[in-house]
Amino acid sequence: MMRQAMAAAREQDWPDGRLVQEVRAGSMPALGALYERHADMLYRTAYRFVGSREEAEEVVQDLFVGLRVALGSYAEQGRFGSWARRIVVRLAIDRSRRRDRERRTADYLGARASAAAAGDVSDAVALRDAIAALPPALREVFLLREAEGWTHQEIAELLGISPGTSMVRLMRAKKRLRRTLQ
Amino acid sequence: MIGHPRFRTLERIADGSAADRDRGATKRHLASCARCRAEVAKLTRLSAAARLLPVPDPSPGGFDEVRRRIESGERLILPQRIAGATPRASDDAERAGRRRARRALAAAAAIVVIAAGTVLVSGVSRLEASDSTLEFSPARPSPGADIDVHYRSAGLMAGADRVILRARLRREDDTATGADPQHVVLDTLTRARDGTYRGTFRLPDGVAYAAFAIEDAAGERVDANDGRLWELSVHRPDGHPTYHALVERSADLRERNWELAYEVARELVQAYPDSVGAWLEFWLLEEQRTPQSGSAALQLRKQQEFDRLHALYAPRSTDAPRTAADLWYYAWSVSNVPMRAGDRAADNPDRAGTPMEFWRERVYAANSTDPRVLMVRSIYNVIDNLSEPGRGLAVADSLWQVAGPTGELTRDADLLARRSGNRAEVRRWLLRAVEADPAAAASAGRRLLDLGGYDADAVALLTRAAARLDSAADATRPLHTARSAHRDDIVIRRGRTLAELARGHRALGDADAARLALQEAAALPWDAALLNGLGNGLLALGDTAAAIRAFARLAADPLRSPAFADSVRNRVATVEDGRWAETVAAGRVEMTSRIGALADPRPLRSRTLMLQTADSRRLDLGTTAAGRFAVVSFWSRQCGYALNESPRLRSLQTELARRGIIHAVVAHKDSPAAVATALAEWHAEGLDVSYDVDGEVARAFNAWGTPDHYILDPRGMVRFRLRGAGRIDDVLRIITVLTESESIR
Repeated sequence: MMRQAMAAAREQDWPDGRLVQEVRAGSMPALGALYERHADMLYRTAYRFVGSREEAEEVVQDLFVGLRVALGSYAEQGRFGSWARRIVVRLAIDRSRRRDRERRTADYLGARASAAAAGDVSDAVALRDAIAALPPALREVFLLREAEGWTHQEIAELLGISPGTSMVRLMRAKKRLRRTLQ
Repeated sequence: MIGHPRFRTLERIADGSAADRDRGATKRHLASCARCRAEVAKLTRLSAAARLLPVPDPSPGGFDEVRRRIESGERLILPQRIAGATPRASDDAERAGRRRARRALAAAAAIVVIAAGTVLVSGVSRLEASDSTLEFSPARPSPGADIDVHYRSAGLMAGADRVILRARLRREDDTATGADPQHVVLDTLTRARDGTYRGTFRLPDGVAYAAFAIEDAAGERVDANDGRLWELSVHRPDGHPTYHALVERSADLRERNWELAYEVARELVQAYPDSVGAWLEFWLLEEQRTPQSGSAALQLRKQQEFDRLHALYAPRSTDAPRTAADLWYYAWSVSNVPMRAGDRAADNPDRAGTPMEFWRERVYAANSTDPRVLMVRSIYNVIDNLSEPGRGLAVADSLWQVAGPTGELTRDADLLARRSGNRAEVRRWLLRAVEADPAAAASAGRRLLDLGGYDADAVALLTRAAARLDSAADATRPLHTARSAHRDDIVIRRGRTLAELARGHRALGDADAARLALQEAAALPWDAALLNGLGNGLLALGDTAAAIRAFARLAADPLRSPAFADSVRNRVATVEDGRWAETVAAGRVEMTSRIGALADPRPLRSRTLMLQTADSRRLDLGTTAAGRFAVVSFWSRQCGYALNESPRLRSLQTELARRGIIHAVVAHKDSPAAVATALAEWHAEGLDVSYDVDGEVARAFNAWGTPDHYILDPRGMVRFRLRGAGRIDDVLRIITVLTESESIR
């Protein structure tokens, strides 16, 4: 029944705005339809930041689990997909920043982590390694600008920095990448 | 244009964001300069390559997981600053993010312990003694001392001629090396003529701290001092606790009662102010209790203390290598210089000359085999070699030769192995992880199954994990847990391992072995976490009848919505209505009897249940809850376990309110503003917390740790006591069953 409902929710008949209203009212099929429509794009965005399939999937799932409540603050100015992508980027950045320091501190103080904590096996391409090796502040701007195509103004708003700072960070990121990849 | 343009200008040309005045001049230069043209071309290719980085396809069925999480009652609040239509992260929000990260890692210890099934909430009798007494003489023993034991039972051990003294022993370096404390039987106490039990034991070598419980010979009647346990710390000749006794006591309490752990950590830094390790323990707990508004002041205090210790130890080259390792960690924790994997010091001029680099050099110069020194070297191996994982794995091998099997080293090497894309290396380090910690066999087996190509190894590991659960039963039993209850826990964990094992057999094409494993799992007691996977596995093997039973048992869970039951049923569309309803009803009986076994009825110690609300009104819980079922949850913003559960606790409160059931979340005396800040940081705004200003309510329930849930029946009797984190689902199941039926008395 759920699949039929989702199949029926074609974009022209059921625009995002209408599905959003239904999700607000508690409709699970509408949530499923939004998921079917946007999850793949959101997953790909999340993956670029967290670098693991498992974690990227969790980020997207987190968004949809919390979506009904979050929609309370969604002003419906602009497209749902863009709004959701901003949230996913923020969640993915938070997760990526948290992961390294948490693991190391927990290790250091003898709080043993589960051996199952690691994610999946990823392809080790030189560029991805180099991007992963960038300091977080530079990496985030680089990915937002280059992989996601955001403007410096949008990046500035998301990260709470000025557009000028965003431009400087992008330049530094590229400089490092160029040096690493030489 | 004189000379070549700066890199920044070329980058902006490639990016298309160059200012008009730069663009004209630079383009003229590019027309005549092959080198700069090549640089712009490389930058353009870099951008294109970033956009084209491959992304693996997501797993199928992602929305099933979303639906499962929503239907299981999870209510996740996305951070306000990103959920708004125009998100904007202020500096304050960034700082809050960092604080959340720190707190999350503190809570991580809690989560890990819960996952291992060993969490307990109990402790010393500072707040209130239980009716039993356990006395040690001498009460302040020196290392290796002979101890006389004198136990007086409040009645729990009536009729027993002998009782068992069981202990959790923490040795001097357990916390520093990440070793698990030991659970052992220390002595058998014999009943004397006056009805008390007496015995003697010698503190084993190296033990700095121990926690105790008394039990009967069968291990079924357990006196854990009403959850608090009893304690013994090793003392110096001058009568003060040793450094290691305080460190181990704080670490032990961190898993049980963070407020007391903080007091011990404070005693630790007062008694040993020049110990770096003492300060690290103290800051971990101090950060936990400091509201966001005080974080700048806290950071300043941390920095000042670091400066003092740095000045004290930097001129000395003869101190223990561990001091250098601890100072490196301390320097890192107060450093503002970003550092992450792959960021070599040589590439980051901001790091040159920092205290962090100073202590790194000192650590490397020590060339020591101290576990913390090796851990720092392992961390740096990842940082330095993430871009060249092959080299990093070679270094990890050499560290393995020196350090021997250690979990921390295998986790770092695992990261490098995954980065290398070399599956054989991933397998090698997973097997080493099991060598370091046999309890990791189940998770390593799951990883190998996911990795693919090593299914036989995975099956061997999962078989070993299932067998180990059977054989290691009593060595892993928490002090406060009876043997039968612990066996139940093990049976459930065994069921989950069997489900994975069946997956492995299926991957190897051995359907018969897979069916046997699943059938064994299906015969185990009701467990929501197991049943879904079990049903799917059985269905995949074509065993529809057994799959129906598994799905029906799952559908019997009162936490599942009717829609969920329908969707589960649709997976086995051939089942008749009558048969399905019958099987669900049988599952419900099974689930109800499991819940009934958790009942622990006892009267309140006092009827005084006066609380104070956040806006300073008085709330008489006794009167409000009279004649109804009610839930009382003890919570503290200083407890990592409790904070971590706050969002789910809020969901529980909302759900119970919807059903007209009182749910009081009770904190000790605290600042409502600080509590509100903590709740906001943990995405649990709106959780209604009341305050037990004089501790009377905690005394009435004999509550000690957090989170701790009590279910009161309409007569004001405590019917259930659910201790520790991870019990919210059970609270809701119990309340549902209690209010729907009178079957549990």
